Amino acid sequence: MLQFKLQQTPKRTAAVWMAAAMLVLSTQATWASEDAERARILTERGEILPLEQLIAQAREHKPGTLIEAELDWEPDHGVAVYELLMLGEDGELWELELDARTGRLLEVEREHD
Amino acid sequence: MSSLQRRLSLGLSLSLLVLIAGAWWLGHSSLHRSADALVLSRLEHDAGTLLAHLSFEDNGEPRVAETHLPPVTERPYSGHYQMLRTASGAEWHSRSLWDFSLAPPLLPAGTQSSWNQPGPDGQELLVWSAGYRRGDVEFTLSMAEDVRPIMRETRGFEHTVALLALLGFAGMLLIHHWILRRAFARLEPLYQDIDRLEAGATGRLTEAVPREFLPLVRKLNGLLAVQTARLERSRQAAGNLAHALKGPLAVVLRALESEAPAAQERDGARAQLAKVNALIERELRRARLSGAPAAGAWFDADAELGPLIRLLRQIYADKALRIDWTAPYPDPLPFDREDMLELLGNLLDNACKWGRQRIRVAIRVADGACRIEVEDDGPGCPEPALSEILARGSRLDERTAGHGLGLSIVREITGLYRGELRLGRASLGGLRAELSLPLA
Repeated sequence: MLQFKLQQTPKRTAAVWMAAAMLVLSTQATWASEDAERARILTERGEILPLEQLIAQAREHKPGTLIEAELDWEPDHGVAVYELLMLGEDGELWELELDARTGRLLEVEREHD
Repeated sequence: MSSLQRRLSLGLSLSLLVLIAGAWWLGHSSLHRSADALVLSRLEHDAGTLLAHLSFEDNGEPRVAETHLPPVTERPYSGHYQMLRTASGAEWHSRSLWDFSLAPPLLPAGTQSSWNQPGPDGQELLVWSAGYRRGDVEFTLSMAEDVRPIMRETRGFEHTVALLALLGFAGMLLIHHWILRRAFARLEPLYQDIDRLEAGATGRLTEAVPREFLPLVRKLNGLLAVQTARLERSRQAAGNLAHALKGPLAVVLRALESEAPAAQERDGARAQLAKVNALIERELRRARLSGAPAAGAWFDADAELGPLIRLLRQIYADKALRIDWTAPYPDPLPFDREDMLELLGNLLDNACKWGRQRIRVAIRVADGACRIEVEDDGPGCPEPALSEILARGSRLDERTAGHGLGLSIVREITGLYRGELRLGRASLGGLRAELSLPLA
C-alpha cells in the first residue's frame, strides 16, 4: 500500500506536465479546469476509473458528500491516485486516497491543514 | 344497482375523485413548472455571466476566464455544471463536470431548449441550453443544475397534500354516508305505518316523510282511500243482494213446505224465482261491465267508452239500440278507472234497460269539473219519484231489477268524488242523469 504513497506534486508542475502531454494546450493559459480535463481524457481512454465509481468505493468506507477531488497522475512512477475530500455524515472532513485504476482504498485520514 | 345509497355514494365518490385528482394534478404541475422556471432563469443568468467571460482564439478554441465563474462550478460533481461546444467540435467543461459528459445537441444560433437528464453520482439534472454565434464561431452553451434538493422538497409537499386529500376524501364519504343514513332513517315512520296497514291498524300512511317521498305517499294514500271505498261498496252491495234474495227465498220456501201448494202459491214462488234470476243476471252483468281491474289507473274516456258501449249492445242485442256518445277530451281524467266504469256501467245499463231506441252519452270537461250526461228515450220518471230515488236510493220498480241498487252505487261513487247527481227529464223523452265531478 505504501509504495503508492504520494509525492506532493506542486500545481505548477502539473500544469507544465499537462501542456506537454496534451500538446493542444498553450502554456500561457492557466485553467482551473485543466486537472478535470486530464481526468476526462484519461477516463475516456479507460486508463483510470470514472470518478463516480471511486466515490461509490469511498462511500463504502466513509458515507458522505464529495467536497473536492484531485488526481495525481505520474505514469512514469506508477502513480495514479485519486485524493477525495469527503464530508462525512458525522460532519467531519475525511481525506481518502484510492487507486485510480482499481478503486482500491489506499489511505483514510482526518483532513487537516 | 338498486340501492339508492350506493348509487349516491358512487356518484359522489366519482365526482370527488375527479375533483381531487384534478386539483392535485393542477397543483403538482404548477409547482413543478414554477420550480423549473426558477432554476431555468438562474441557469440563463449564469449563461450570461459565462458569455461575458468567453473569448475565442484564432483557431476557434474557446477561452473562459474561469476566475469569474461561480465557485460552485469549480467543485467536482457539485451539481452545478456549465459546458460549451462549438460547431467545429471544440469543447469546454466547467471543472465541476470532472469526467462526466453532458453530451448536449448543437443548437442553431438564437434557439433555446431545456430538458431533464441523469447526471453523475445519481444526480437528476435540469439542463438549459442555447445556441449562439460570435463572429464566425457557432457554439452552444449548456447549463445544468441538480434538481434533487428542490424535488425532495416538492415531493414531500406533494405527499402531504395527497395524504390530506385522501383524508378529506374519506372524511367527505363518511359525512355523506352519515347524512344519507339520517335521511333514510326519516322513512322509518313510513315503514311502521306499512306494518300497521298490514295489521289493519291504520287506513293510511303518514305524510311526515321527506319532501321527495311525499308524492309517492300521497299517491299510495289516494289509492288506499279508493280501495277502502270500493271494498265498502262491495260489502254493501253483497249485503243488499243478500237482503234482496231473502224475501223471494222465504216465499219459495213457504210454497215448498206445503204438501200440495195451491196454484196461487206456485205462481207466487215462480214469480219470486224469476226475481232471483233477474238479480243474479244483474250482478253478472255488473261484473262484466266493470272490466278487468287495474289498480290506480286513471279513466281514459276515449279508450273506455267504446268497449263499454259495445258490451252493452251485446247484452241488449234484442233491442237494436242506437247509442251515441261524445267525449271530446283527449287526456285521461283524474278519476279511478274502476270507479268510473262502475258508475258509467250502471247509468248506461239503466238507460239501456228503459230506453226504446236511442241513448245519448256525453262527457265534457268545463269549469274545473267533469260533466257526464246519460239520456234515454224510455218512459222516464215522474218528478216526485225522482226525488224519492235520490233521497233513499230505493228501488223505483221492484219488479224490474236493476234500478234501485245501481243508482245507489252511482250515488255513492259520486259522493266519494264530492260530485253531484241530478235526475230529470231528457230531451229524448226518457230519464236524464247528469253528474258533475270536480276535477281538483
